[in-house]
Amino acid sequence: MTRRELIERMADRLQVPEHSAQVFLHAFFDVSKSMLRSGETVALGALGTWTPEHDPDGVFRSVIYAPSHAASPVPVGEDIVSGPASSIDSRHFIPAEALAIAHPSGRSPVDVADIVIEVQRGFAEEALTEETPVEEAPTDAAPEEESVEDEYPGEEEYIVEAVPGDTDAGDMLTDEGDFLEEDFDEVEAEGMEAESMEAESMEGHGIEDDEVEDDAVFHRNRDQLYHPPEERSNRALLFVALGLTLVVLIIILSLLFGSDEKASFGDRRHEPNSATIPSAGTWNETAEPESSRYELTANTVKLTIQRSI
Amino acid sequence: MAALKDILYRTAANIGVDADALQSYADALSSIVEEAHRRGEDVELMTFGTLRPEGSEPRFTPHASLLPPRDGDEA
Repeated sequence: MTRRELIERMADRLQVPEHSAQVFLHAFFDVSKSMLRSGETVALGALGTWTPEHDPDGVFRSVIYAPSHAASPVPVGEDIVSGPASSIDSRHFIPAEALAIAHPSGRSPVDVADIVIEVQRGFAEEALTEETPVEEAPTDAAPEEESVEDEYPGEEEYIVEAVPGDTDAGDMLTDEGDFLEEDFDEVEAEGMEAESMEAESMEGHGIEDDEVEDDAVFHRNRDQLYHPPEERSNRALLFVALGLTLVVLIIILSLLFGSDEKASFGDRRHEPNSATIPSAGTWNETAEPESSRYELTANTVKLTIQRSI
Repeated sequence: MAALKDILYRTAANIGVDADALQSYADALSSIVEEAHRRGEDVELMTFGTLRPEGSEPRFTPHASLLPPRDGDEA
């Protein structure tokens, strides 16, 4: 069964789009791979258990696979609580159904009283189901679930005593049935909406097609993963910026000190009447004022230099 | 040890859905793999590896991307 056939069968069995099944399978096994690379043993229930093997240097080198019905390659003592989920659940376990009903939206504040009511209802249902024996599934998750159920607090610990005069607690206990019935209707409606939103969000996440993953791309990506390229140094860019700054400074200084034309503008500003256009017949008359104009220009340049200094 | 529940929680976080919604996917995957094993059929687990039935037990062949590159591999 190729991966394409696996996607098709899964979509057919769950009656979901193939894209959703593809997204799940890719994400699921990517997470499994990353967990193995980080050195954790991965137990995927009925699929089996994978244990990473490392070199003496601590480098991940190979994987040991154990089928689900075989003994686990990692010895786990009875008193050892292994793994984050099992350790947290066994100590602070709240049934997911109770959380989903009491806290459906995930954004509004949680009312602890609602959770207590749902936990009580869950215990009542468990008491009914305990009368009929249930076969144990031969998976790795079965012992964890047993240990979790063993550490459930007794139902008596959750019974809230109604204090005389405390009308809220009394109403909460007496109207519990009506409250639960109303709440179930709301939760069912919200659950349908949440499922449709989840399906849309799964369809929105795109991944590359499998056909793109040829050998060349694979080897390149793998080498980049284990040997990431060094980041470029910004030193060359810094030198270019400094050079450009120097060029701009030189241009500014040359404009200030290197040209007489700029000083002549100051001359015209001080003597606007001398800017009259000489006619053809009066060019001799304007010769003498031009000499004085040059003197004024020189004075203006000197004044500009003094100011700049 | 990372149990199936841990993997499902991380997967749900990566693709932005609720972990409970993925439980049915995991169950379907397990049943499909078990059925394929009973039929003596190989199962390619995406880019994770391949389960091949050998005798009564399946044998796992890791995908090349699972293990780090060794010396002399094609660049």
